[in-house]
Amino acid sequence: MLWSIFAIFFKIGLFTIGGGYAMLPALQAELTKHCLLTDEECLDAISLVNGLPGPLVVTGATFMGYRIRGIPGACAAVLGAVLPSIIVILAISSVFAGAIEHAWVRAFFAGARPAVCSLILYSAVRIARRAQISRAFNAALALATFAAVRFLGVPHAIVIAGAAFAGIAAGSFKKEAEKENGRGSAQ
Amino acid sequence: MAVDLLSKLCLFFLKAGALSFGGGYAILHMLQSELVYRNGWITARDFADVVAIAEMTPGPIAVNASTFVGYRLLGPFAAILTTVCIVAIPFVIALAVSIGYQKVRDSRFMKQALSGIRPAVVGLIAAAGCGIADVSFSDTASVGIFLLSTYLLFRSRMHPIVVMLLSGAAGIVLYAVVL
Repeated sequence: MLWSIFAIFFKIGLFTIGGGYAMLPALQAELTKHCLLTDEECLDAISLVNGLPGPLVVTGATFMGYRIRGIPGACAAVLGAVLPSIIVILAISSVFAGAIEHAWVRAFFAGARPAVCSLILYSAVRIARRAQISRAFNAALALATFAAVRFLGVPHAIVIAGAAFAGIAAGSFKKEAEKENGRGSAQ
Repeated sequence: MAVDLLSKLCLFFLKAGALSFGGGYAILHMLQSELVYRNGWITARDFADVVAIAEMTPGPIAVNASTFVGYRLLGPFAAILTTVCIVAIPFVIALAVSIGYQKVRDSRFMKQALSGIRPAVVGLIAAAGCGIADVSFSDTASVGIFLLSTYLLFRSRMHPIVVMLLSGAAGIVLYAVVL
């Protein structure tokens, strides 16, 4: 069990270029396929770790690994997620110092980068469905977040805190409204 | 001397890990100013190489940078130690949150907060995608690869890793062989 957790995170860690957001759909696909986590749990993981310090890959793997198999699971997942990049960097800096300049290597990555965009789009669509993006309030939150991060450079931690606050405010507002309605219909 | 440098490096990467909110690109600036300009541990050219390598290799940029700097200055064992340092604090915090999360998951407060964070995450991912799109679309071939890989992911349900490898292979054919 621990070995298969390690193996899954290692495999995804080894093959995903483009950082945490490109890793997510691959991880989600792999973990749900093996019935280790549900789509819901993956989304919770992604939502939560966004507000924490550290690379998304590290915090995401910790959370997902813990949900699967407690503290040993978290350790196996993080080790699996980080080990490929340590090995690759050590190999590059010690042996293949010139490889990154090689025309074929550059061409490979030039081809892979647009695919990273597709992966992220796929991830965004899949998560948007789960986040009930068709509701106006949710769509507005997503758009506001996009604008704040992309155009205004607001730090992620602040955006996440703001979104949590918006969720709590909307929730309390809805509860108040329901209370009012309940009183109205009782009379 | 080496021990002194090693302890300084470890302390720096512990701090960098603890402060790295918002992913790789957000802490790039902090790493650069500290590693290159304040401490002079690596040159600006080396730093640009780390970024290029990090973009083209698997793994988070912060992890790649810590491994690279540790190796460059003090060899492979230091590289592993600096990498452990940058991961340590985020790991402990995420673990604490995971443990606590199971207890607070069902609280109304937590549910409301998550109902706000979930849609926001969609915006964050879209922004990250645009950031990568900025450096991905240089010609019609890259747009073609994007359309094809999107089709394979959404319609054919092909595995993401296979899509990445196929696109990379297409890149070699298009950019290195044909053009």
